[in-house]
Amino acid sequence: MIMQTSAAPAAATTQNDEVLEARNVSVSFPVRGHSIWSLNRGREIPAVRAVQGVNLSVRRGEMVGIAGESGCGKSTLARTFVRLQPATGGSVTLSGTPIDNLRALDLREQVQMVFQDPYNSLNPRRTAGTIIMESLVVHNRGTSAERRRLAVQMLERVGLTEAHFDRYPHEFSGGQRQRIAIARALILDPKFLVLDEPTSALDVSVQAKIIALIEDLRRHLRLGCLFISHDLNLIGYLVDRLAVMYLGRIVETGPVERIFANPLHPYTVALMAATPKPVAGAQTDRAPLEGEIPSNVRVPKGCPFHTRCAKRIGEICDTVLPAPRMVDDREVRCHLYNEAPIAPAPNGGLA
Amino acid sequence: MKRVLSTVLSRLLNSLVVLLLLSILVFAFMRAIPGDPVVTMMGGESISQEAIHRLREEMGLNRPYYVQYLSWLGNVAHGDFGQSLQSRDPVLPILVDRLKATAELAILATLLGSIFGVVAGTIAAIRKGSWFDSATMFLTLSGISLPVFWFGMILIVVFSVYFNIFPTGGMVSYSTELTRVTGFALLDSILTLNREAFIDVFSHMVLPAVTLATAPAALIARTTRASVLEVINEDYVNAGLARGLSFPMVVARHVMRNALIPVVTIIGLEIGVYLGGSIVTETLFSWPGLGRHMMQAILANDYPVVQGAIIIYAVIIVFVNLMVDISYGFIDPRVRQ
Amino acid sequence: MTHQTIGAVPAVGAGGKSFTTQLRIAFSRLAERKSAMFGLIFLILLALLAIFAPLIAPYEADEFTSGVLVGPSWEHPFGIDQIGRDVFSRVILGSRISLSVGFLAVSISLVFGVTLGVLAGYYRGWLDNAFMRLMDVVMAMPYVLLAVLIAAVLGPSLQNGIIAIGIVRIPRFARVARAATIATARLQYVEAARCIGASDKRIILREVMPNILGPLVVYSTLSLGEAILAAAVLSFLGLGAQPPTPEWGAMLQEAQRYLTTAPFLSIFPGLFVFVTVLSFNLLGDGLRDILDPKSRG
Repeated sequence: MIMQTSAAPAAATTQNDEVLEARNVSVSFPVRGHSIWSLNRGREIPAVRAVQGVNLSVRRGEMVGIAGESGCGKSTLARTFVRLQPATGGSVTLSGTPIDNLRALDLREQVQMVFQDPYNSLNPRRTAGTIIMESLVVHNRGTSAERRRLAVQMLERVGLTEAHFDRYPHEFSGGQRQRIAIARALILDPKFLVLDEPTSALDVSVQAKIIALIEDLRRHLRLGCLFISHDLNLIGYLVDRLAVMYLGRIVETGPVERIFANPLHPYTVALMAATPKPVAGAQTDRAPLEGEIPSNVRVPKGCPFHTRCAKRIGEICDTVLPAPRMVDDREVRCHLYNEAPIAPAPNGGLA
Repeated sequence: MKRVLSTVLSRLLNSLVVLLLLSILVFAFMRAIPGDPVVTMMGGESISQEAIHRLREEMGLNRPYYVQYLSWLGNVAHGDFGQSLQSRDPVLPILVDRLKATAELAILATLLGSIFGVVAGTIAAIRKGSWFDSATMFLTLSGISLPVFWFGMILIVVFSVYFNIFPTGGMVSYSTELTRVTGFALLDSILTLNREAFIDVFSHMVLPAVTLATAPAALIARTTRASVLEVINEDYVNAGLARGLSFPMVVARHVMRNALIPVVTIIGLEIGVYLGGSIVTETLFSWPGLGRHMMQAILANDYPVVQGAIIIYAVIIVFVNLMVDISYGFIDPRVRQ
Repeated sequence: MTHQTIGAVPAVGAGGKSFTTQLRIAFSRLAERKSAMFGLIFLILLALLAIFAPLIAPYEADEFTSGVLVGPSWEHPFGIDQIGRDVFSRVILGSRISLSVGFLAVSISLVFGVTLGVLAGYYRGWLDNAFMRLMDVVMAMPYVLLAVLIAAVLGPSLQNGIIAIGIVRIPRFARVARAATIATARLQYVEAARCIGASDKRIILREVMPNILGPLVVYSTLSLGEAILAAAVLSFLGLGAQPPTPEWGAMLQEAQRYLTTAPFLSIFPGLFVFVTVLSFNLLGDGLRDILDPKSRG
């Protein structure tokens, strides 16, 4: 049941235990078509390493952002949180339990996802109301009258009306479709929501409204949100904590204001420099990005960013993968900070 | 170059695996046919059990299946396909002989079908929308739907019975003498400068070849038409015309080379159809080819002959597919990358 | 709130039209194609013929009349065969056999082929790989050859002929089903369905199946023609229907011997096979034009 909770949160203790966490998650896809020949020559089968060794957690009630360029693996990582993409290494846990061990329906009641493309994520043959109710049908909740009532409630909650219940997706605008998608995800009353670039396909003016809706829902429902985007400005505005991703690895994590005020990792610096409208208060270090993103198949050894890093120290960057270090209540993977203490293991949780 | 070599090798490996699988399937199939071949061999009379058993021992039919299979496979590799259960003659030489007859027919049919198909398809494409085009489309659709054996029968009725131009069946008339040189009747008649024989054999070949070529010709015509249509609208054709080349020249030089790519593929793949269709055509026209021989063997439960025939068919089909696959990489530079 | 509608006529299967409206649209499009309509009309007539065959045929299939090998006449429009049976009646009664053979064989291919194809396309993995290889092998052989082999193994009879033809067609159906399944599984709203917790079974039934219907309908129609043709071929070779069954192919096989003396025996059964197959092909082509995404608006 969706309840319009007041702004005051419920007992803090129970919510602090609820954590959606990725522990050392990796996702690799084997590349087809080369097996026979490579086997003959003793090479290992090349694979696309989309995600490597990621540690990231989301608490209930907080908004965590993942920023990075296209192809860095953010979407793949996002899907591991909802078990739409199995992790080939490490595991994703929900309050300590690996999600693979949960029953599918149990998991789906706790973690949901909103997809990037509003035009393709809704079934064109179903009405808006049916799409939203389907979540309830699948989980066998309520009678059909109750489901309808809840769906209408949900529609109104996301800013639509009962009149929209029987309309088909092609009759809606992009922004409205995303509202439907959000309704569909939230009607199951999940505790966590993964949003994969939910506004990237929308016009700027619509974006703002959808973002406002998401923020509003997040506060009222105490959702733990994982917000994926390549738009730093948006992320800067919206999230509490930020993780910066490059070539499958998280290179910097921490509170978003601190990162914007003082970006530590050279890639973060470059990203922010490349962003058109700098966020107020951020320092822009003139260190532009050179070169192109290396292929995901032959991931360079050592630090993933060493091929383009303006602050490259020396050979250590080419050969050794930097360990996550704690600097200033943030985590960074960069040899520049090798003096700093190693970050604690994932089980300890981040600040 | 390395990439090409590796593709060729992997396809070759693939083909070998396919053949091996097929041989197992064939072997299993043949053993599954109901009816004891030994009894058939003995004329189906009531013979004592001992006699049957003795004969089975002799022929090695009592050994466990996998032993039979392996020894059979070994023999095949040496060219020994066993003996026909009906005639006790070695299988392979007969089959090869029959294969030659089928090949002659198939080659003639391929030539007829391909030439006719390509020409008709090209003209239909160039004159798109004309009566010729519509007629071609209709005829080709009919051609694909046509029961081959019925069409053959009609041809016989019209040309053999009514007009009496062509004989109704067989390969050579009784009265004709033909010395055997290569085993290919038409070729032999040429080599021995035997004009009568040549005409005789050829006249026997016409109807079956036309029958066999009909369905593939229809398909080839359709494919050619579609392919030419596609190419004719491409920009480089217009560029050629703009440069002042006459239309036929453009057609010959630019259009055909590119348009023929899918057509060649179809022609190659149709070999399978010729082989399949030859079973029916040969039966109808009493043409002494592999298909008819195999049918008779099937009805008589003559395992070794059927096995051998299937193996031959399989090898041919796999080989042709392999060739088409490989040559496709050479012909179409787009595929090569 | 803005209210957008996609202009132009939505393609069959899309948008919020009810099923009957979609059918009506499809049918009107089909009616535009004369050739397809010809096929459809003939097939309807044939179906009626088959259903009411016993009432229409003046004689029984094995009833002896006066005379042997007599040419067409008013009493016997298709003539009398070598034993004295009325060819016209036999051809009409044969329509029942041919149509049932076609439907049964295609049903076999459909059921097994679609199951295999959907499973392979949905779950992928090594099963899919192995399965596809196997299908490639089977498809490499000419289907006549395969059908002959299977029928030979099972023994010459009509049922075995049906089974043989059915089996031979399975790979093609599987391919069609698999391709449609893979295309559907990629759709983002299918992924979203899985995200909210829909089980595989539900997704397959509610999302994949409707998407397969179009290509399957087309392919089934074309296959019906081919199956009937294949049945005739098998009977002609002696492996399918056995005489005295009045199956068209078997009739042609018997007529072979009398090509010179009684050509009319060969004409009519084969003509019926031809026109039947042609009709299925015309109809199938027409259906393919309207259901194929290429021709969608």
